[in-house]
Amino acid sequence: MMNHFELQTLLLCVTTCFCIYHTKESHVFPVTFLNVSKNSTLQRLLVEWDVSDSAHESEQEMVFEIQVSQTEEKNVVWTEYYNTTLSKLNKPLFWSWDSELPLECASHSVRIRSKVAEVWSPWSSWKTVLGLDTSDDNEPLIFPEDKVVQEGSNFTFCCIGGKNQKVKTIIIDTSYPVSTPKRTIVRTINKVTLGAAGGQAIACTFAGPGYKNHIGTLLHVGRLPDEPKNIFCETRDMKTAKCTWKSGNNIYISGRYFAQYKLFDWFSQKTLCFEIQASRSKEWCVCSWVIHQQMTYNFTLTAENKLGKKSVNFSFDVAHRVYPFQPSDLWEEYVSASEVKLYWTMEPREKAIDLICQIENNRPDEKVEWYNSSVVHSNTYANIMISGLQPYTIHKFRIRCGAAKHFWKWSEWSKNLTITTKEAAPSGKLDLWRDITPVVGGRNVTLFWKQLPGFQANGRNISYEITWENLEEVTEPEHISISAPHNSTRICIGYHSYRISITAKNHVNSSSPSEIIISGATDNDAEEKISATDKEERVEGTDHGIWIHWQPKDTFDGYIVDWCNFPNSQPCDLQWKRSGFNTSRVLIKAVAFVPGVRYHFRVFGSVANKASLLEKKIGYSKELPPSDPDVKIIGLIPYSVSLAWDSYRTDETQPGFIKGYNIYVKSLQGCNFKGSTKYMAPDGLVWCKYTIKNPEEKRFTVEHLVPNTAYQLAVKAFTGGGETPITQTMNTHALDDRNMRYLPLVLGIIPFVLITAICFWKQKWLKDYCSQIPSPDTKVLSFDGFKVASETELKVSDCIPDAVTLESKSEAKKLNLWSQRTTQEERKTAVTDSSWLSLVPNEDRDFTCSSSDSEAGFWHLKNPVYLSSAAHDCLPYQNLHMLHTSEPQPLPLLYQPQHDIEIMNKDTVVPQREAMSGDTSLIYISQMEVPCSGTRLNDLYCSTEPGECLGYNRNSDLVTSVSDGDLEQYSPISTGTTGTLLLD
Amino acid sequence: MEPVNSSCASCQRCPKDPLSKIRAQTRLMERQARDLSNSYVIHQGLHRNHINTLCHEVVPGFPKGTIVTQPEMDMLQQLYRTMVYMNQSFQVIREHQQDLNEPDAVLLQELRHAHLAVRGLLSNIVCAFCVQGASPSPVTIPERPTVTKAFQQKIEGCKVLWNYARFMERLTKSLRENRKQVRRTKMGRRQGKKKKASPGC
Repeated sequence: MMNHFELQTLLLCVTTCFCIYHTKESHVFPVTFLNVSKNSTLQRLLVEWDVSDSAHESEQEMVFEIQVSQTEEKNVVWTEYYNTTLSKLNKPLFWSWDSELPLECASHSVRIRSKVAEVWSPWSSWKTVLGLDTSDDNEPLIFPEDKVVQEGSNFTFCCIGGKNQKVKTIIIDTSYPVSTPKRTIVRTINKVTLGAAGGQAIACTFAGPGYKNHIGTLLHVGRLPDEPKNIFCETRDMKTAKCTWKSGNNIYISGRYFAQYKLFDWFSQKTLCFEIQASRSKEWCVCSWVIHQQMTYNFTLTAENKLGKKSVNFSFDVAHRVYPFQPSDLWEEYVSASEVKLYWTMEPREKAIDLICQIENNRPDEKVEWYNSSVVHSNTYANIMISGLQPYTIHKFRIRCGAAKHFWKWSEWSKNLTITTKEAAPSGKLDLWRDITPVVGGRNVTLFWKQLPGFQANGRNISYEITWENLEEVTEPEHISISAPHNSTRICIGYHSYRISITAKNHVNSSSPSEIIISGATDNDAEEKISATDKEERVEGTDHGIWIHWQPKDTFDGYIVDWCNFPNSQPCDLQWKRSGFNTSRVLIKAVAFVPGVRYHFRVFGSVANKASLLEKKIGYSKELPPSDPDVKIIGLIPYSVSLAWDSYRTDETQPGFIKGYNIYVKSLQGCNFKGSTKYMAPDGLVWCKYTIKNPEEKRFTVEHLVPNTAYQLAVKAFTGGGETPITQTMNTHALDDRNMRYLPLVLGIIPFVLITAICFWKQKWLKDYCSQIPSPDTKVLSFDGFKVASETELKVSDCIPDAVTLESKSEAKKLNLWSQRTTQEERKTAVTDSSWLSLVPNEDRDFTCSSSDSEAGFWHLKNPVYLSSAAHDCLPYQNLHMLHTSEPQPLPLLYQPQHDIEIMNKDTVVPQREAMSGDTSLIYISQMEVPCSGTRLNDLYCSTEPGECLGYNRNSDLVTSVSDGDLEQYSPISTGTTGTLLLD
Repeated sequence: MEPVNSSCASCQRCPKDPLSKIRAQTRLMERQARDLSNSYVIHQGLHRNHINTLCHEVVPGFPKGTIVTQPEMDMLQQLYRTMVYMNQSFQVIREHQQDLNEPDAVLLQELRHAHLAVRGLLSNIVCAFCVQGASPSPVTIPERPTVTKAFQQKIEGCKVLWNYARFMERLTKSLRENRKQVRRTKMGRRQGKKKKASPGC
């Protein structure tokens, strides 16, 4: 049971609650009307609702909560709060919602409630837009159809089977079987990429009854269009205008979904162009329209495709963008040889546009000239006078025009008009030069001419008129005419002064003449010379040419330098260059200059067209290394070698001025020659280098050689261009100096032999006068010729000389004079050199030498006395102590006596040598008269003092002959050093 | 569809042996049709599975079985009928594809060339009739559903071109075999004649 207090409290609460509820109900405005529809293409739900009129009248500030649900299960997929202030005008209320899922794929329901002052109204009932997934249609469906989506977005589609059909597979890039077949399948492709043109195909196949078991759609993936670029607008005729822009990379969706452009003018509020499609093959889009009277525009150009649009604003003033038409009908009117009047027509003819035109003149020399016209109207015939044209020249004219006011751009060039101006007299002057060659009775003058800068032929059939007149005698001037393109001729003049003039002539007239004066000369000085020496000064070439300097003189008003481009040819292509009076040098740059060719330059001073030779120069544009000298070894001794290249030419046959010679020496012992410098060749070899700076000094002796050493030698001539690399060398071997050690020995023998001979003569004299020794046959002593037994005359050359043999093995080894390395020629030279080998002066003709008997290899002592009185009873040869043995010592008999007849017989000598071959001692063999008394030579002790000599035959002579071959034949058999002089 | 009439106004422009021309032409068109079918699939963004499932479907414009075994005039009539169908099909396919491709797309050029080839073959078929003093009978083209959706247009084109390629393949193969057969028959006849001419051998 409830007590009184409790009852009162309950009643109070109920009253309070009722009051609160009543208050609230009076401020809630529930949705009174709700309608839901759909836009399938946009996949958009359109929601329309309203609340009571009182809410509108009270202009309530309200919040609506809107819920969207999918499928019959009313799964809420979207909730949104919609704030608004109600008014009498905004009724009913609208809201839309874009669905990712095509609205046909499922039923979509919407409900709304409102809130005022934090009090929510109750929810409205669900309003549903049915999906096609519940239809009774037998045909399968797919949604969306031909959908355009932005690259990278997600794409959701659904396949709905016909009645009693279930989705079996979904085919996108491959076939996806459906694991749980349903009538409706929804799939989402994430981050779609740009695909095939015309759209990517997506399809579903179905199982179940129905005449169609597949359905498909196309997915077009693209991008927003780019902003239009490179927009420009212009007019050509002021009647129509056009705007052009670049579509660029605006081709993101193919075919029917290409971007479209729209050009809207804000002034006229008109869209001038729309539905201009871009395409990959059409880079530029064009919009054109008729201007009428509107001259200014304020445009918005919009590019739009299914995904969106982009716009650009710009203004356009027609008068500032006039691009005139190409001028036409260009023709000419000749006024003179250097003037022509050009006419042309322009567009538009029916409307006058002020234009300025530019005329281009393309000349044959590829120079281009421009002329500007005054302001011309497009509807008139315009013309312009062109002056200063080159006569008889082809000119190509063309014209273009632009707006005179607010120039925008030139029109295209008109077609070319090619004209040839009329002929006129040649203008400018010729440059005349000459080369004088003395001939019998006068001078040949070869005239050369060329066109000076500025010379113009101005016509056809140019000829050169040459006139020359004698300045000292009154004679009729002579004249010849040379047709172009000849530029030289030869005339013959006498020794007087002559004036020669030349003019160029065409059909119209002649040019002004050019003159030169040839000074008078005599028979003797007809040739142009500087002085008696006529010396040519050397000049050096540079990379830029050859500088020619001269000593200027005040008397001249100009200078001329001439030269031949091809000095070794005829004609030599004479060239000349003039320079002013205040110059003292000129740079000659000829393309024809060839390195290594010597050019001759002549410098003339000129006054009043009369030229005088001042200087002569020679030079090379570039010097090259010269040819190698032909070097011979002219002397070879143990410590030096002499070289010569006398025949080497230093003239212009060389590719440079020969400045000297470098002598290169190389041995294994390195470079330690006194006076030489070390030179490292490009190949890395080190040479000793001597330099001769006189080109005419063509001999050189390399000294301080090490005996018995091999050397390589090379001689190189050098010019300003250097020298050639060392490729060919001579090999030589320095002689062994042991030969030289014998020189004192040999020189010591000579006085000894002389003394011996004197002693012998003295002994004979004593015999003759003191001991009644019978005298030899005077017939024999008389030297009318040698008579042998048969009385035939014995010639000197037939003599077999006496021989002196050195018997010493050790000494023979040292005697390199006869070494095998010595050439045969050198041996002969050494032997026949009388200053070297004639030990006894041959003052008397009684003793003669058979120097040709080289094979004898002996020192011959030939005595006709002995030959004629070959006494059979003569004693055998005795040894004569020489050299090391001061005391006379008995020697064994080594040599059998020979009769004179046998001696003269060459063959008979051989056994004699053979007989000695077994001896090891070095033997000097001499054939001398043997005293008939039989006195042994060794019995005659001869001191070195001549006065002590016992006898001397003044008719004796000593001739030597040396052969290393013989030395070898007579190989020493004795190690003794005793020298033996065997007298026969 | 209205029947297509053809008349033989003059055979002056016809080749001397139109049948040979037709044979040569079909050989070229067989390869062209195969290439076109493949190219079409690639350009349409169709997958192999699309083709197998959706394209490989017989369409009514093509004769069933071989037409070569039929008498010559019947064969020519069948060929004529097929080519008339293809002529119209190409017209439709090209229109559809112009909406989906750029004007200078390779596929459009290939379709144009194939279309021209069909027209050329039609011309020679008419000539083949003409030289025999006849003309092809008017043909009725089976009506195809009007397709407005792009996907279906692609699939329809795919079907037609696939069927066209198959037809041309069958045709050239049959013509080749038929030609061999004719040669063998001729050779047999010649040998038979020889044997008859020299029975002693």
